[in-house]
Amino acid sequence: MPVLAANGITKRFGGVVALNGASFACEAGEIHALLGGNGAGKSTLVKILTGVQPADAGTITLKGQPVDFSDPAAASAAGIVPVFQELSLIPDLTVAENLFMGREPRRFGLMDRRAMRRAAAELLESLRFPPIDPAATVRDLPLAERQLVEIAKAIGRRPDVLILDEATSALGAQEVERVFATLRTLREQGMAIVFISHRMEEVRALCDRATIFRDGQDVATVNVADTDPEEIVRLMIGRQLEEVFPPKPPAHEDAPILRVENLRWEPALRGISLTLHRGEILGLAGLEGQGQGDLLLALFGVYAGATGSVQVDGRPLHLGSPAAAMAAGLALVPEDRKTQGLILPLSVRENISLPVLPKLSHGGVIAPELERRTTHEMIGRLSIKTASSDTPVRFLSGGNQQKVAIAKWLTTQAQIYLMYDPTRGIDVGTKQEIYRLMRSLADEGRAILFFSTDLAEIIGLCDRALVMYEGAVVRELAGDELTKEALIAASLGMSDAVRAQMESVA
Amino acid sequence: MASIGESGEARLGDEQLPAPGVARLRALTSERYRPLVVAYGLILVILIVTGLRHPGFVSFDNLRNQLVLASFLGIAAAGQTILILTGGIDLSLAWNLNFSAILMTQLTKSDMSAGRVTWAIFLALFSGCVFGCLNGLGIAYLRIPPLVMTLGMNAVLLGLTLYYTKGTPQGTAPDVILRLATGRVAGIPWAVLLWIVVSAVLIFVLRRTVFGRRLYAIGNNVRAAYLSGVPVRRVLIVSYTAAGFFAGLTGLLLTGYSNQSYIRMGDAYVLPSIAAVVVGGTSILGGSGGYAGTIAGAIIITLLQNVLSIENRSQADQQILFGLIVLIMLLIYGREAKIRE
Repeated sequence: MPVLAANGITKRFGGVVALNGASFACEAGEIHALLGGNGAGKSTLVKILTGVQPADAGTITLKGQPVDFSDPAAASAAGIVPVFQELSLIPDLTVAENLFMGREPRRFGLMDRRAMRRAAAELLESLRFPPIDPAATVRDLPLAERQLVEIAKAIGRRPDVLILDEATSALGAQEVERVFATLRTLREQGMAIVFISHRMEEVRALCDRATIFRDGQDVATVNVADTDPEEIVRLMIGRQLEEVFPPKPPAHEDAPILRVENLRWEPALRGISLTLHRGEILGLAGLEGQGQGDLLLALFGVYAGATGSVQVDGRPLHLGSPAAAMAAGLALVPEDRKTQGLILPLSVRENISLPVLPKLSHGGVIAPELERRTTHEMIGRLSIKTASSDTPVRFLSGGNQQKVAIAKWLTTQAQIYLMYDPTRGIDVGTKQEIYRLMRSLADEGRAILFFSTDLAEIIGLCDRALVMYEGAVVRELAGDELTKEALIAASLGMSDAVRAQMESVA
Repeated sequence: MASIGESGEARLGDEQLPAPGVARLRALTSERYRPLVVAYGLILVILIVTGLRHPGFVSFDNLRNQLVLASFLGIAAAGQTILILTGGIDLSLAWNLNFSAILMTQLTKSDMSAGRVTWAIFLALFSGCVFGCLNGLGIAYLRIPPLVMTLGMNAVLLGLTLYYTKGTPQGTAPDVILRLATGRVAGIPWAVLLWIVVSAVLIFVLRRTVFGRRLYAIGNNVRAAYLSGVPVRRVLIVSYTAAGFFAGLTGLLLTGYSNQSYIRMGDAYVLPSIAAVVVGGTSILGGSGGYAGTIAGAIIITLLQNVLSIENRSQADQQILFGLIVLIMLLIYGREAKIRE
């Protein structure tokens, strides 16, 4: 008997049918993947299973008993605990305080900090996660460690069903492997784990079975080990995929469009030098939090104290403000599209036109026709799925939001695109559209400097890659050198000597 | 440029919308316009309910007089609207308008020549702008929270006023200001005409200009706005300067209305100006709303003041009512926002 089963779940939002009679069952002691493109209904199903939203129709049973959760606390008390991509931690509290939020150890009626810290250390150690100080304030942790704390917090509640909704998308390969080891142990102990990820490799490495969703319905449940990845992708999108990455053109010999020398912003950036050519996609690799994000922000003029020389097309660029960087032809697609890249309550049109408003106006007055035309051109070019250009961006799916975050820079005619993990948390189909867009921008003679947590993207998309480690570029890889092994070795800060030794042993 | 994906999938809803009339009707009842419909509906309710009890309330003369009073509040709330849209607020309104008013009457107390009056009016409005600008500089560069910055500026202005007047302001309003606040042309009060002009300009600026669009961007998400190249500091400084200008203008109008300047003449405008903005549906957190709502809000607040005085209610009742209005409106609109999420 499945520990958790959903039957015929239907959910509508206004006129949109998010789930249309979807069913799904998960056994104790299995890791079960939910797969599907954006808008397939996975996230809505998770929200219903965890009491965030009520279903319009259908039943849920937990350990054979029908359940109907009024809120997330009820679901959590019954044994269903989710971890979402959006973090729920309170930034100003410590790791320990977050881990035991709502169930703090008490002594004489007061919170027992010492006991809590000890219990937190034990919990983190039992999960075999990388060392995280339980006394550290969450705000000071890099995103990946915060995500690990989030996962630990959920596991600490000893749920019957643990749901991970894109919970590994902020993690680097190393951290993912540690989390997987822990999840496998939990599986052996009989926990049911529902796993949602856009990284197919993760699903193949971890999951026993997978249920595939499309257009609000479950189309198939398969044994992962017996099924081709191509078959799964075909079920997800309902059509055969073409080549994942667009072909790379031959190397270019143009003069560099961007030249950076000895860029410093201690302690995050410790003397970065690089060149970027027209028509080139330059990858930034390495574990997350090694300064890649800071490099992009510094180049975009966000860090007032950054020093070093930056030249765009041979002209020096003063790192003063984003406005100055934009005037020099730079664009930034930042790490967090929801808080940095987009203004969620504003419409698709208002978001796309924001960086380019001065050009869409005469004497400070916006030309409505020009703005509408520009917006529609972008909606068409990027196939942004939105009810209208006046729809607030927050109503769009993650992939379409990301397209808007990129579209706003196509209007400025930017020449250099700085992108931080532009495909995080979006579905396979949209990812491919973004890959093709990046390649077409490069082919038009623009240049892209981008960071990705997905090694396959760096290898498949980039002409060259720079591996960053602790605020410095430790290795440059191009052509045939650009392999998973080389990227990982450099990411871990292994010196050339050590690597040569390892290779000779092998 | 190459198009990516199946461009046929892009749905440009504008083309799918039903006939324009239907669309407009639907737009009127949509979430965005609901606060406006509620606010203007509330004006009707007040007129009908009070009119049935006190027919004199809905007489032409009374309503025209109320509209003059509403124009003072509406102009004070113009600055407040701009700032609340950015996520800020102006608590220095009370003494900024008071200082401007006193500056004008003191400067003209012994010389009412046209040149002197022009100079005094210019200086009074300029003073409003300067203190507004200082608010903006403190908030944009020193990152002082708007609440604290403008509250501090309010105290400074209070002190300056007392120094300048030694506690007893002198002089009367120049003719032109008197006429602006109390006079009429073809039966229409000049003050109301001025309010119409201010409203038209402000609604245009907020809806149609780059500056207006940037206000909304900053009010919703200052970080994303900054990363999109919005000159956040400049926009904030211009906003606070404009709010200072409207405070000064309100000071001149109030001086004209009572033909004198006096200590504490602005105190009665701080909370009502904020109330007018939130009653008009502008989010106190910034980023959504507009001046069309504030116009309704200013009329509602003014009519309520009138109703209370007709009903012989005390000053205490008025204060409690305005406090409650602000809190209740925040509760209603705040809840709606939550339900929509």
